[in-house]
Amino acid sequence: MVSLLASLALAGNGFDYNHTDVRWHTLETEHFFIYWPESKKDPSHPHYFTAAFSASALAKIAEESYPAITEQFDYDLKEKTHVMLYDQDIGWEGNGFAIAELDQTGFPGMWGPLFRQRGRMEFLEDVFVHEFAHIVSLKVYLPWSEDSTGMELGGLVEDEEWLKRWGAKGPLSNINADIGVSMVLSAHTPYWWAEGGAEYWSHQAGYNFWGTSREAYLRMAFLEDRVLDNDQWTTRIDKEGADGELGYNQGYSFGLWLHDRYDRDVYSEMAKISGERWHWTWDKVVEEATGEDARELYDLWYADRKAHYEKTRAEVEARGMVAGREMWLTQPLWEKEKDEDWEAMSKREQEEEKDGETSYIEMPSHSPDGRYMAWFDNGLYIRQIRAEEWGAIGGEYVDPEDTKAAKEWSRKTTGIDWPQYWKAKWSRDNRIVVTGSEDVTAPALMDLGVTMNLDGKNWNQLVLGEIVDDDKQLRVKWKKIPNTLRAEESAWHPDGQRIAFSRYDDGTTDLYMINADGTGLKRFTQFGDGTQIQGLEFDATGTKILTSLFKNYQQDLFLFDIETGEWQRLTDSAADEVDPTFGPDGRVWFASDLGGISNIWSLDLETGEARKQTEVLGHAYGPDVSPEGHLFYSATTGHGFRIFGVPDDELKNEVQPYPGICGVDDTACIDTEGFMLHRPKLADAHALSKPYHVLKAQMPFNIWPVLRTTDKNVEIGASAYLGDYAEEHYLEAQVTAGKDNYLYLGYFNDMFWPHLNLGYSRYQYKGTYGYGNDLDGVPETDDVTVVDLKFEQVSDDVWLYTSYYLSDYLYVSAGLDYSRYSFRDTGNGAKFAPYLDSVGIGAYVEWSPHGSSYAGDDWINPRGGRRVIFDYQHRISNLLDPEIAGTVYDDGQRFDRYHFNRFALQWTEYIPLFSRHTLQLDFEGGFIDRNVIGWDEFIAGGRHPYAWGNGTIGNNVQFSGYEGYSLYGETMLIANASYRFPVARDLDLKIGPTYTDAMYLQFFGSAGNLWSYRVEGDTHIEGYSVVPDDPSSVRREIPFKDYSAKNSIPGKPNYVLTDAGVELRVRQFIWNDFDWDSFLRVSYGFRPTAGYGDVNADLIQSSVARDAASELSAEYEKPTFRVYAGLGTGW
Amino acid sequence: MIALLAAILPTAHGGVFNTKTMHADWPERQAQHEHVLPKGWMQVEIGLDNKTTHSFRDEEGTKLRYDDEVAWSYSRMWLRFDQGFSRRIRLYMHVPWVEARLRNDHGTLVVTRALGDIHTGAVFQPVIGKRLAIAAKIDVKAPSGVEWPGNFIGGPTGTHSFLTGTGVTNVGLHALGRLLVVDWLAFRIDAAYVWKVPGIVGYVIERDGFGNGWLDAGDELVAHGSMVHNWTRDFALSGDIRASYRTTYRIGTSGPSVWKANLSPMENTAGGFLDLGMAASWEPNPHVELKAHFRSQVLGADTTHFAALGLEEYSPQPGTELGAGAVVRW
Repeated sequence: MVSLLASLALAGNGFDYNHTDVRWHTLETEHFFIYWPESKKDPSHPHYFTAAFSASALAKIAEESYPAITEQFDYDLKEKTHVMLYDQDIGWEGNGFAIAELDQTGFPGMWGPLFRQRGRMEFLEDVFVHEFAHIVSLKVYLPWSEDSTGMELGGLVEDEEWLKRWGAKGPLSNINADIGVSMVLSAHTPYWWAEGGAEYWSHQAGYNFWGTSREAYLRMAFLEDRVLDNDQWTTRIDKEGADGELGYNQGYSFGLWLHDRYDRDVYSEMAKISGERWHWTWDKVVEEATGEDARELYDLWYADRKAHYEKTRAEVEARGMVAGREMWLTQPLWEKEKDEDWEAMSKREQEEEKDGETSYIEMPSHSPDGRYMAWFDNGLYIRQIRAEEWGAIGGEYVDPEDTKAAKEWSRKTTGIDWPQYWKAKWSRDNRIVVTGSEDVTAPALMDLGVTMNLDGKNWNQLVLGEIVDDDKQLRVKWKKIPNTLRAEESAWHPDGQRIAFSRYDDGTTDLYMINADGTGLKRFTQFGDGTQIQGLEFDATGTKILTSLFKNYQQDLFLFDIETGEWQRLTDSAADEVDPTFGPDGRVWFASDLGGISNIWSLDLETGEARKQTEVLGHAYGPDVSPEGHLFYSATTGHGFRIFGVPDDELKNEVQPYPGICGVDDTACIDTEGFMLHRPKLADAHALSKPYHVLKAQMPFNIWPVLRTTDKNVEIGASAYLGDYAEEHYLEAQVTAGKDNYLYLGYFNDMFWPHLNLGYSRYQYKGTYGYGNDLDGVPETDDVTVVDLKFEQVSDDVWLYTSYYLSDYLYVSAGLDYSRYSFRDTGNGAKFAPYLDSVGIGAYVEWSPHGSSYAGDDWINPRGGRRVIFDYQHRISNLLDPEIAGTVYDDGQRFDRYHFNRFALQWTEYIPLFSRHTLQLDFEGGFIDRNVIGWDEFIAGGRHPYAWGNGTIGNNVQFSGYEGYSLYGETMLIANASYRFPVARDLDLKIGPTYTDAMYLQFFGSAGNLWSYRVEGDTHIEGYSVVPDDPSSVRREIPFKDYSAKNSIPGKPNYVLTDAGVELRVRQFIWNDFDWDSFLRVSYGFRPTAGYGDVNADLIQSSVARDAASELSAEYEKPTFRVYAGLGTGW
Repeated sequence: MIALLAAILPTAHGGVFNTKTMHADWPERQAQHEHVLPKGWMQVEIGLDNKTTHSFRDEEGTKLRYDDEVAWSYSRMWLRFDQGFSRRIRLYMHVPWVEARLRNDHGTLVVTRALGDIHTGAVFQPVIGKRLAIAAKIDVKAPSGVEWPGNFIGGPTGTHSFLTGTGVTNVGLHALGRLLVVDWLAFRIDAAYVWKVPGIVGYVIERDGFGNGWLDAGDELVAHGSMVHNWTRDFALSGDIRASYRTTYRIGTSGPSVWKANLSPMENTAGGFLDLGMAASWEPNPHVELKAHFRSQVLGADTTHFAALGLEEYSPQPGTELGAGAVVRW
C-alpha cells in the first residue's frame, strides 16, 4: 500500500478524470468522516454504482479498530480522520494512502487482482487499519507542527560575475558557473519503519497477521540472498519489482522480532522519541529506543531469520522437493549447472538477470486442446506452444544463438499490455476471454496512446479474442463483450456460447453469466457482504461452476449449480484454498497453504481424496494443468512471481490427509446454507449519511515555509494549500518576499469533466546593473564609466486553463492568459509605468506514449518512450510605455499593437540501446508568423534547472553552451543528441540523511539556430533604432540560407550554432524518500554570439549599440566553457 | 474577516481550524508567553499604528519644532502571521502597508500609501516551560517597499511622494530573554545586532535630485526591554523601553569599468535613540487577543538625512506612536 508521507499536490482524487456523475455522501462516526461515492445515474445505467455497503462496513471497522491503534501510541485523537472511499473508477484497487497532517486516508472498496498475494485478508479491513496506523504513528512521530511537515530551501548563483562580486580573483573569476542547491528539510522516517510499522501495528491491533504468503516472500528473499540491507530498506522510491513489497515485509518482521526481543512495543516508542525532537538520522531514534546500535540490531535480526528459513529449507528438502523449473524458452543461466557467463556476473548483475522486466509472471492458462498458452509477463502473452516444448517440461531449451528458432517463436507469440491480471480463459474452439478496460479498441491504437476516453470511465469489462493463426504472425482480433462492465474472473461454458463471470459491486463480487455476444445477462448471486469470487471454471457437464470464495474470513472451495442456484461446499478448512481448476484427470487442482507452505493439490470430488502435487519452498498458486497432465503454476521467488512447470511424471502425487474436506471430515461443512446466508450486521449508510458539503470537508490549513537565495539576496515566504477532501475545489498559494516579491494564487476546480485552473501571479523583480558609458565606443578598451542603475519590474499574470486526459498518453489543454509588464525606477514614486499588455489564447497537446516511470533507473535514464508537445497560441501585444509613445522599434520595424500566431513543437525520442545505454534525440522547433518585439520572440540559451522565469527551451542540455536567455528569434530549429550510459547503478549508499542510487554520464551536442527579421537596403535613425528607408525591406531570415543577424557579431555570421558537453547525473534521495537529484554539466558553445542588452553578462551594459543606433548591443560573448552544477536541484 | 475568524475559532472542531492533538497547551497568562508559540498554533494579527510629529532633531539631536503648519504623520497597518512550527521554533512574517503624510509649510499635503518592507524570521528557544526562557531570533527585512522618489528633478524640497521601503536587506540577530518572576509578572528583553546589507538604491547620489547609487546603511544595535504584569488572568499591562544605536552610513558609486562600490561615509549619520512606552493586552481565550500600545521617542540623533524621503527607518522622527491590534489563533 502506498503511504504518501507528504503530498503537496493531490489531483482529482488520485484519478486523471473528474466524475461529475458522482454524488458524494458523508457518513460521520465518533472518530471519522467517511466520504463515499454514489452514481447520480439511474440504477439501470451501466455506469451506476454505489459504495453504500463499503461505507457501512468501513464505519464498523473504523470505530472497532480505533482504540486498538490509538492505545498503542497512547494518542487519542482530538481531530477526526477523513476517509475517502474511491470506488468510482479503477486505479486505486488493492491500494491506499494516508496523509497524516491532513487527517486523511483514501482507498477503494475494490480488491483488484493483486491484493491476493497478501494471502487471506479482508481488504477493506486490512487497508483501513494499515492506513489509520500510518495516520496515528505519523502524527506521533512528527516533531514539527502538522501544519508544516517540512520547509523548502534553495539557492542559485549564475554566471562568472558572481564569483567576482563574491571576491574571487584571477582565472577562477572568469569561470562561467551556474551553481544551485535545493533541499526539502523535513521530518523523516525510513521505509521499513513507516510501512513495516503500519503492518506491525495493525497486527498488534488484531487486524493483520503474518500469513503464509508473507512468510514465503521473506523466506525466498533470504534463501536467494535478496534481503534489503540496512541502507536499502531506508528508501522506497528506487525500489523495483519485488523489493517494494519486501520492504513492507522486512519492516513487519523486524517489528515482531523487536517486540519479542524486548517484550515491549519498540516501534511505538520510536514514534514517541522522534516526536520529542528532530533527528538527523533514524538510527539515532533506534538507538534511543533500544539502547543498541541500529546496524547491529539489523544484523541480529538477519541472523535470526536466516537460521529460521534455512531450517525450513532443510525440512522441505527432507520431504523431497517437487517444484519443477521456471518456464522459459531458453534455459535461464541460473538453472544451468555451470555457466561461465553467469559466474562472471556480479551479484547485482545476476539479480537483474533474474528480475527481468517484471515481478509478475503468473497465471498460466492452456487452451483445452493444448495448442496455445496464455500468461502474464508485463502484459498478456499468447503463444502457440505445446507444454512439452517448454524446457521445464520437455527438457529441451531453445538455443539462444539460434536466431531462426527465435524468429519462429516470435512469430508464434503475441503480446498486449492492456489486460488486467485476471486469468485468461479459453473456449474449446480456441477463443480467449480476458478482462480489459472500457478503452479497449484496436491494440495498435492503444499502443500509440491515441485511444480516446471521452467520458472518463475506464471500468473493466470482458474482452473476447479470436485467434488468427495463419502461418503468419500470430495475432488476435479483440472485441468488447457488452454488458460486462466491472467484470473480473471469467469462465467459458462448455457449449462455447456462454461465459460465466464475476462482477465487482460495492466491495463485493457476484456471479453472472452472459452470452459471448453480450446478450442474455443473468445474475446468480447477490452476496452483499464483501464476498470475493476467486477463480472460476465450469465442470464438464456445464451445470456447475467451480470457484473459491473469500467469505466471512474463510477462503474455501465451492461448486455452484447454475440450474438450482445451490452452493456445494467442497472445503471448510483453516487453510486457504485458492485458484481451483479442473485437470484433465477430472480432479480439482488448487493451491492450499495447508501445513504452512502453499502447494498445489488435487482433489477427487467423488472420493474426497486429496493428493499433494508439489513440495515447494516458495508460495505456489494459480495451477493450470495441460491436456497432457503437465502442471504449470505460479510461485513466489526471491526475484518475483514466476511460472514453473512440472512434468506429469515428476509430480509428487501423494495422497495426504486434508482436514476440512466436505464429506470426508465429519467436523467440516456443518452448516453450508447458514454460512452462505451470513450477513454482517451493519448500519445503513444511506440513512445515516448527509450530502457532502465542501465547506464542512475542508482539509487542515497546510503551509510550507520557503527560503530561497539568489546571489546575495534572500527571499522568504511560504506555500499554502487549502482544499476539500473530494478535491472539488483546491487553492494553492505561494508568497515570497525579499529583493524580489512573488505572489501566486491558483484555484483548481474538478467539478466538471475537464480540470479547470484559474490563476494569478505577480512577480516583482528588482534589478541592478552598471550602465557602461564607453568613452571611445570601442568595447575592447578599458575606458568605461559605470553608472549604477536600479529598476523594478513587475509582471501580473492571469490565466484560465482547462485540461483533459484524452487517454493515458494524450493530454490536451486550452486556455486564455493575460499579462501586464510594468517598470518603475527613480522618478516614478509608488506607481509602476506599464510597458506591455499581452493577451493570448492557445491550445496544448502532449502525446507521451510509454513514458518513463519513476522507479529504478527510469528517472535518471528515461528510455523506450517518446514525448511530443505541440503548443499553439494566438497572441496580441500592446505596447503601453508612455515615454516612447506606446511604440517600440525592433528589427527595424515600429510596433505598437499587433497580433501574431506562435507555433512550437518539442519531440523527444528515448531510444534504448544495449546495457541501459540510451540515445536521446530532441527536436525543438518554433515559428512566429510575423516580426515581433524581442519580448515575444523565442528565447534560448543554457538554463539551470533551479532558474526562475520562462524559458523556451524544454531540455536543459540543449544549447547549454550559450548564455541563458541570450538567443532570440521568430524561427527556431534546434536538434540535440545525448548519449547516456551508467557509471554506477544500485549504489544504495546511505550517508547521513542522503541515499545515492545511481550515476549516469551523458555526452551531448546541439545544432541549430534562432532566426529573426533583418533590415536590408538603406536605413536611417529614428529615436534609438535603425529603421529602413523603405519599410518593406524588413524581411524574414530563412533558416540555414541566412545567418542569424541578431546573434552574430559583425564579420562572424552564425548560420548554425553548435555546442557540445558532458553531464554527470546523480540519482539521490534525502530524508529517505525526498528526491534530491544532483548533476554537474560542462558545455562549450563553439560560436561567438551577440544580441540584446548585457550580452556578456558582466552586469555592465554597454552604451554602445551595434549599428550606430540599435536595440542590439555592441557587446559579444566569446566561445567559452560553461559549468552548471546542482545539488538536489534535479537536472 | 478578523472578527469572523475570532467568532468561529473557539468553536471550530473540523477542517481548516481543526484543533488537533498535536497542539501544545496555550499558557494561561500573557506574562507566561514563551518566545515561541506552542507547537501547532497559528496566529494572525491585524494591527495599526500612527505617529504624528511637528518636530525633528538636528545634528546635535536637539528636538526642534517645525512651523506650526508642518505636520508629519506616519501610519502603518500590518498583517502578521506567526506559527508554532515545532515545540522550539516559531516562524513569522510581518507585512506592513504604510501611509506617509506630510503637510508642508506651504500647506500642501503630500501622501504616499504603499507596501512597506516585509520582515520574516524564526525564533529558536531550546528549553520550554522554565521561568527563565532564553531564545535566539533571526529576522530578515526584505526590501519590498517602494524605494523610488516620485520627483527626480528639484531635490528633496520638491518631493511629491515618500518612500515606504529602504531598498536594502537587513539581517538581524537577536537574543531574547524572559524571566517569569511569578505567574503574573515577567521581565523580557530583546537585544539585537542588525546588519544592513549594502546595495544599490534609487535615492542617494544626485545632489539636486535623487539618483542611483550604493548605500551602506550602517549597522544597528537595538535593545528592547519590558515588564509584563497580568492584572487579571486575561488582562496585562507592560512598560517598555527601547534603545538603539546605529553606525555611520556610507554612499558611493561603481567603476570605472568595474561593477563594484567605492563608498564614502555620510557625516553625522551615527547616533542613538531612546523610546519609552506602555502596552495593554486582553486575552479572553487562547484564540483571541486584543492589544494597544503607545511609545514616545525621548532621546535621539539627527533625523534630517532621510526625512525628505519619509524614510522612518533611517530617520525616525520624534513623536508619539499609538497603536492597536487584534490577534486570532488556532
